[in-house]
Amino acid sequence: MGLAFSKLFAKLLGKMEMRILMVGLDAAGKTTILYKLKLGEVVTTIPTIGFNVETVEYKNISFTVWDVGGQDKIRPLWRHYYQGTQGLIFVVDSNDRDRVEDAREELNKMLNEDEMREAILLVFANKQDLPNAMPAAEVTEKLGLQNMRNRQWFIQSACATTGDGLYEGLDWLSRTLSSKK
Amino acid sequence: MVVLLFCKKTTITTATTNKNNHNHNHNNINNNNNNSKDDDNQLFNPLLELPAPRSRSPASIMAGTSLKDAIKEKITAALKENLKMEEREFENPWSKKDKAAVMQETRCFSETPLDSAKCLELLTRVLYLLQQGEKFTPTELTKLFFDVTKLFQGQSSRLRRMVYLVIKELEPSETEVFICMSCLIKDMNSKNDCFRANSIRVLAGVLDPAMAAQIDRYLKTAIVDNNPFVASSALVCGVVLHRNVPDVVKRWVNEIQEAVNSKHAMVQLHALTLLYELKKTDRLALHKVVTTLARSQLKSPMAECKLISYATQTLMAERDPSVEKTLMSYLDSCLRHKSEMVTYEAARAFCQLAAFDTEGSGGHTVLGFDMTHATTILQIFLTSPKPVIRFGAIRTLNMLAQTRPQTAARCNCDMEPLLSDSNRNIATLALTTMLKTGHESNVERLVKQITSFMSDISDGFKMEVVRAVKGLALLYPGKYKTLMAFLSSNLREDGTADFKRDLVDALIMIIENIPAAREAGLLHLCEFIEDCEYPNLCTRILGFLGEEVASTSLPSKYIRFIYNRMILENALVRAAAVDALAKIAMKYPKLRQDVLLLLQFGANDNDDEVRDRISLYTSVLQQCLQESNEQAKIGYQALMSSELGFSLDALYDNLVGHMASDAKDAAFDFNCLPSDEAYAATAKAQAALAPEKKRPGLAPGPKASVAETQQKEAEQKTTASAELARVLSEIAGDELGPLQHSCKPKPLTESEAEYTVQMIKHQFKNHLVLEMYVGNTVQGMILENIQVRLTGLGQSWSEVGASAISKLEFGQASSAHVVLRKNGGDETAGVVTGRFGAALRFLVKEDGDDLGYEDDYPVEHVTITTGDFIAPKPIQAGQFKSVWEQLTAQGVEATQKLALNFKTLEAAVEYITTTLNMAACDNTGKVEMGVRGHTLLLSGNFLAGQMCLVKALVGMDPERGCVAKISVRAKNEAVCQVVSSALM
Repeated sequence: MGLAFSKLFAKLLGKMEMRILMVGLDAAGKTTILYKLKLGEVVTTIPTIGFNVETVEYKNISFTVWDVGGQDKIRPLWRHYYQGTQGLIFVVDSNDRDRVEDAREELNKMLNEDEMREAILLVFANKQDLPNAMPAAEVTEKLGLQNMRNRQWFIQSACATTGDGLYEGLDWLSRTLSSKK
Repeated sequence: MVVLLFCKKTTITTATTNKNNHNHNHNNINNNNNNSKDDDNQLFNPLLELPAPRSRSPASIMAGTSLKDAIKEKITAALKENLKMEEREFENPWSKKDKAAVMQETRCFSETPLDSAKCLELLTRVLYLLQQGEKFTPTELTKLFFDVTKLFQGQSSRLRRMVYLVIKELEPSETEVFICMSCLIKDMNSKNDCFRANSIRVLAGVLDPAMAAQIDRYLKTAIVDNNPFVASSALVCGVVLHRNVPDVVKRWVNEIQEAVNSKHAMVQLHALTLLYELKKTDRLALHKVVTTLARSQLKSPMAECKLISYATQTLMAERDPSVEKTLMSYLDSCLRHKSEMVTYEAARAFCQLAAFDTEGSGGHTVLGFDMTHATTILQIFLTSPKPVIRFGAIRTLNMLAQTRPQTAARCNCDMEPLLSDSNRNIATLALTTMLKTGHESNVERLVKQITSFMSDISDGFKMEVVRAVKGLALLYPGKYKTLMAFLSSNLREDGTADFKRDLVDALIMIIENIPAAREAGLLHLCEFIEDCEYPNLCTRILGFLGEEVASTSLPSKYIRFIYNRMILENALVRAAAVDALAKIAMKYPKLRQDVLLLLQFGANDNDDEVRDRISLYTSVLQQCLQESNEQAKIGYQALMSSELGFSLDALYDNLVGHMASDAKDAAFDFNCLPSDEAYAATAKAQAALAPEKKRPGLAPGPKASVAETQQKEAEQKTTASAELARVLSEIAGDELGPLQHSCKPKPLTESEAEYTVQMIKHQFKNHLVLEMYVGNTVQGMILENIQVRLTGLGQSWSEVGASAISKLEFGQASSAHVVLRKNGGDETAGVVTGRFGAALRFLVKEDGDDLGYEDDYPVEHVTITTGDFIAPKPIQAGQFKSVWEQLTAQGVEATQKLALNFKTLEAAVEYITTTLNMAACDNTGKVEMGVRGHTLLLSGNFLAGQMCLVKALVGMDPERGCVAKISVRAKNEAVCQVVSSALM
């Protein structure tokens, strides 16, 4: 009963809950992004063995962000966290030209899963502060985003350490998800 | 389960409290319960709220005070109701849901936002199912595990605690479990004590060595955390980690030391456990830890118990006087501890040590400390109202009764009431203890009591009872009737194969050891095989009957039972029955004709083996009946007997020697072959001579196959005799001739003396070689130039030469030799006796000391008796008579009458057997109960393989005491004379 009321209140006040899954290759900057969003500061991170989960409040939306580690041995376990995901944040290290092909493969594999059919896709082209970083357009091309059918997607160039582009990404997520409801 | 219920109840509480926030009744109730603890408050709340709606009746609203009273009344009623709930039949709230339903509902774990109340209930269900042993498939477990990890998004500490519990219970695989590592490490650094402690506990099971090194410093700080739960968790984590990554844990020693002095009982216990784990491989460090802690008082009784057990282990590991005093006085002080648990543990430690310290000056002390106090404490515990304490006390006394029955017997008066204890385990233990400590007079009463509850105890205890009865039968042979009746009545009851086997073992043992019980016991066995469902027991009994029946007063009585088996049972048992019948017939000629007839009935048996045996035995019996040729009979008897009169190894050795010698055309003489026992003794004596190549404790590698070890042993044996030969030829040249006989090693010092000496006598034709096998057990001492000094040699012996041990370090052992020549002995068949003083002379050097000093080390006197010239050589059962007759024809006899200074026949028989060093034949080594006379038959090999037999008639004469008449038969007259006069 109480729960029903709180849901109603949330609806009336426009407060929404969103389940976001954030993945990407290892060392792409996922954990840094998560804690920059949560705490507003840059924390020292170690390679994530497992996952971090935090709730980020932004513009009356409560994002539950699942940041799952990107190491080889963890990637097969991503699928256990697909269920119920509304938004997928895929983080790419724009400076790592060698592995962008790997990133594309992982992304495609994931989007082909049935459970991810409804999820919208936000790509962070991270580490834009590095001199040799690929611009967002190049990342779009390398990931083959333009060929995607039946999927709402958005690419945002970002820099986790300064926070540039992160909230723009969240803005897109909240806009798109609210319009879907 | 209690925890789970508690969780569930508290969950409901929070849910309902939230809903009824504005209910003022609720406040009232809280005020009433002000004194109780928070937990209780929460537990009671939901139940107390039951009457709340009714309290709004108009009447009570009108008057404030009456409202209050009414509420109070309702509360008391509700509380009473609550108390009654315990009496109601328990209905398990979790038993309704099955696995499928639970798996279906786990979807709620992935919902956003989380419904933690629902999740908590579901987690409890999962735990319940896991505890009930419900089988989950690997896929289900994986799904469950990942769903549960999703609950880390919730911040409720109650939910998180359940998540930890479930993760531990699910035991996820290595490839999956690391998914929660990041969360656990985060929780480990959280501000919430509950998170910190629980995450550490889960981490303990999850960590791999690489991860352990990474989070090492967090764990280290957690050990000295102010919160005892956190500290305990970290310490337990250390205990678990120590198995895989000891290096990491070793770095925490300082923190652990600090935790040992913690004021929290649990922390102290866990710190002590971990400290022990760290030090247990290092003996000296462990000694130090245990002795230091024993001196300082620990606050926690549980840690105290642990320390007691460590101290006991240390004391039992080795005798070390430096720690013994401290630890024993510590244990002694624990007996006066105010905690029951500690005093019990200390008393138990005393009993364990009593089994270890077998001397203990007449059973009253343990390692020099009086143990009366310990038994008194156990005695008090026997009357405790708590069953667990009674059980502990009686179990410990039972253990004590095995080694020191007299000491345990002191508590007998308090044990007796326990026989009727409602707990059958306690009653059984009390009974078996009393059986061990009991007095002859109350055996009957005890047995009666056992019979009364044999039917309602488990098989394990039944076997325990049988063992106790067995011991009792040996202790009080006079009570065999009662005990055997008990055993046979149990044979008739239902029971497992193991239980039946133990019963049969016990019966057979009684028959073998108590001659008077023989006939009745055999009949009990016969009765049992009439209806026995275990073929292997049946064959065993048939084999035993075959050996024993012939010598009973009326063998024909048993034939029927055996014949029944031959026609009624399966092939295995039939074959055994045939064997038994044939054996009886061979030994008891009067039955031969009848048995032959019976065997012929089975000649058409459909089993090959049975038929073969029958035809073989029939023909043997027929020949025996036709020819009265005694020689043929002896041949057939060999066929009947499974035992050989000599050692097979010796046969092999001697045959090899015979073939190599010049006299290989001559017939091989079987009579000079030593028996198994004698051969083993000689081999042992010679092996002891072998230079000690490996230090004690260095076992041969596990890969060495049986064949290899055997080969090694053989090599050792040959090198041993070669070594002896080499040493002797150095001393005495070639004059010694071949070795005739080596005696068993005989210790000349106490086994725990500083330097141990064992003496082995080697007999040669005209010489005797004394070999002193010296061992050095003093650490840091080196002995050099060890020589043997003999004094008082007299006329009969002269020293020819000696060899010395050049150097003997700690832990080594080696031999020094003295060669003596016999002066005379020609007319006594080479037997020369003597007794002389002996001492070792050596140079003692301490480690690092170059000079050292000379020292004399006296050992016991060396005695040489007639027995040293004889080796026991058992004759096959039943053959003594024929060999005795044989020697009449070929040999001579000497007779001697003597009066012996013994009070019992047993002692006299024992004395004659050991002095002559001969083997008792036909089971005559045991004396029947209550007889006044006994015939002892002995056989042995005199030097150089001359057969020698002795018939000794021993009797108790009321006027003259113990008298004996010894008849000796041998081929050589001198031998006869020497042996017959050996006892004078």
